[in-house]
Amino acid sequence: MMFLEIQGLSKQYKRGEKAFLAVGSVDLSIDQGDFVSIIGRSGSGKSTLLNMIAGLLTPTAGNIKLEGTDIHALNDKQISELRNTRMGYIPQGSGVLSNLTIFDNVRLPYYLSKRQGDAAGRASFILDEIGMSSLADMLPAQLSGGEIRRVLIARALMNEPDILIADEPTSDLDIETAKEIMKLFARINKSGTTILIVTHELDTLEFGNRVLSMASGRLTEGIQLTYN
Amino acid sequence: MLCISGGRIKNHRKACMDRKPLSTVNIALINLKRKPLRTGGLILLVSLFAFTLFGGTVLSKSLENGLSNLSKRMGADILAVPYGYEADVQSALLRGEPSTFYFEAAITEKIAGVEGVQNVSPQLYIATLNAGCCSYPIQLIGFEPETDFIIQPWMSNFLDHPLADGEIVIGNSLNAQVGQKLIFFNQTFLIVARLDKTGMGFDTSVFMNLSTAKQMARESERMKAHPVAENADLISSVMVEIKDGYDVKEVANAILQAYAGEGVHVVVAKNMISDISGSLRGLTTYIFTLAGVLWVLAVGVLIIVFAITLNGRKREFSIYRVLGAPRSKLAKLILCESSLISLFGTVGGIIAATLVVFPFSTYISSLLEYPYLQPSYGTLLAVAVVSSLVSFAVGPLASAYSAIKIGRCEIYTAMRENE
Amino acid sequence: MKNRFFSGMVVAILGLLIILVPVWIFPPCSEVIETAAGNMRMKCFWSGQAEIGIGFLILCGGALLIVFKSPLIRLGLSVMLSLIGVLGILIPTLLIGGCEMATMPCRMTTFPALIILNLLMGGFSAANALHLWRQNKKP
Repeated sequence: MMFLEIQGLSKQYKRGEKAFLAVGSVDLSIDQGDFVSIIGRSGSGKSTLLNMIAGLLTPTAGNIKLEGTDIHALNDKQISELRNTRMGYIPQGSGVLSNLTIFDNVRLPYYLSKRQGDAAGRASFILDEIGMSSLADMLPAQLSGGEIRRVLIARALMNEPDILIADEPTSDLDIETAKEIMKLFARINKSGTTILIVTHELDTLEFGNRVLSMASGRLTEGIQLTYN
Repeated sequence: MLCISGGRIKNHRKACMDRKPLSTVNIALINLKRKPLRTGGLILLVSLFAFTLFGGTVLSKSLENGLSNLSKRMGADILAVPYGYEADVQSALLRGEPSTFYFEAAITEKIAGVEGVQNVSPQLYIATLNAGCCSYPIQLIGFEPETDFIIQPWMSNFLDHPLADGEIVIGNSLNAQVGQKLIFFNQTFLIVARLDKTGMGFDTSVFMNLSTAKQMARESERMKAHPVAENADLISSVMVEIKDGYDVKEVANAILQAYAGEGVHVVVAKNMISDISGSLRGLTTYIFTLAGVLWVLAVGVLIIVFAITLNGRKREFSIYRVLGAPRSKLAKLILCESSLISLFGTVGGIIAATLVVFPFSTYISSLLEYPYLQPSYGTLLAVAVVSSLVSFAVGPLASAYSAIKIGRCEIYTAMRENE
Repeated sequence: MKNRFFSGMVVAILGLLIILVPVWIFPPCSEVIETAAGNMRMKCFWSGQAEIGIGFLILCGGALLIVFKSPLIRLGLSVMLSLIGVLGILIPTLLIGGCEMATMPCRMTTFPALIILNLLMGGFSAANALHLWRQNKKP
């Protein structure tokens, strides 16, 4: 059994009277420990695909199985628990809560689940590991884009997820900072966490062990430099 | 699957010791603190409602209590007074306003002879110009202890002998004790009893037998001429109790017909009480209508504010959902925010009402000019609890719909709001 | 800055109200009242006078809370103000007092208003002192 299995996944929207197929019948299998990058242009459907995998968007057809569990067959409580305990999601842009400090943002996932343990200790440790301890008591508004991205990664790691899902983690970042973020992902992957990212930057592809291309809602193996 | 480095967990105890744990309440408090003006405004609105509801209810209950006390222990069915002084006897009874109106004492026996009359008892009102205990004029009431059925039932301690000359009974608001001596017009009098709190004019009056009252009038002549000093056969009113089976209006009419020519007029106690009761009903209706309007306003404003602000926070709430918060958790967070607003508003309003209604109760009573008697502590506590619950309900009620609606949004769509 | 201004303003306003209560809002009896037994000196008048002094002290305290930046100075001021609040309550109740009868103006309005205002001011100052002390403890 593969770690993540996707079969016949589709997502259709309505644009006025016309139907629009954002994702068309995608099949994908990911092994545990893989570092998968999905590359494609804006509007190719990669973010839609990613968010269906994360359980944030309901597909029109198909299924997604995480270690045999069909995630969209679960009820709201079950899928929320799955997302909290087994997935670490890093949204596009700034996905931090502006009212909470960096420290509280990082330890928030712990309190949304019924976990017992030292949340503050773990949050402190993770921030230290990614070099953000000194910024723990600051508010997100006081941080740069790259620092925010690190905070999102730290938050995603809080509950020791099996898979990290990141939507365009290096967008809006300069080349150097983008490289640092990708190196961080590589370190996380080395410790056994499965990584799945979508990106439109070619420079980020060298860090993963598998590359897929998305174009017009269709997924193919490898990089497609020309698009139909 | 643990840390990034794969190494051992470092000890972060010291850094974490001052950290308050994250909880729904803590997060809600943080969210409210970040928008102090908005939060303050909403709390003020709820507290205004709580203030009106609690304060108004205490006011209303105190008036009800005063009136109920009055009608329970009125004693007299009819009050016979000099013609033209009907309003004055009401002032004297309800507010203890010193009054000086008189007619011939002989009228007492004449009224006693009217059919349907069971008991009669005369009273004499004398206003002081000073007193040892008090600096403003107070009402002195002379009564006949042998026939009295009005004043003696109110006495809080049992008197084992009829009220003798030189002995007085004091109203509850006078700050003196049984056994103490008071001086009126340079005459010393011994306090032998004290009345229970009545919520009426009796509380600020001093009572004595008729001969002592007449003596008082003679003494006061040193400052100012007094009708009673000139003519010792004057009284102010006659308290009338009718026999069972007789209609009070018919007996009152009979007295009027027989003695109107001698300058006698009658006040039917029940009418006086029902007039007051009617006015009180009006006041109570006004208070509760105002409270109702404020409640609707508070809920309405909160619904609008919550709908607008929560709509603008869709992205924020989607982040909670992304991190694994189920719909119920989100609803809990929103309800917690609105409940905190309600809670602070309720507490603030109730405290503010307490600081107004209780310390100023004497002042309020004097302004209202109606019998005012604060209810028991048990009743007050019940009123506080009910007012608190009704007031607290404002927040959760106002945010309930929005809380459910936010949870039903598709997470991905909500995340992309305001992009 | 916000705390300084807010706390100072609240205290100053309460101090001003404490001055205004015996002067204008709910004045007590005049100094002496003519009665049949002779002139009576009214204690409540002197309670009112003392409260005017206390109110002025509180008003100045509020102004100083705005002026001084140092949290320690403001902490000391707040502690003193809360004690002044206690004094403000003791004057009409224990130290000087007023008329005996409950329906006298001083007992009906002046003293309740003064007690409440002093209670609010004292409580607020104590809370401010606690807040400043906690802030000062943090590294």
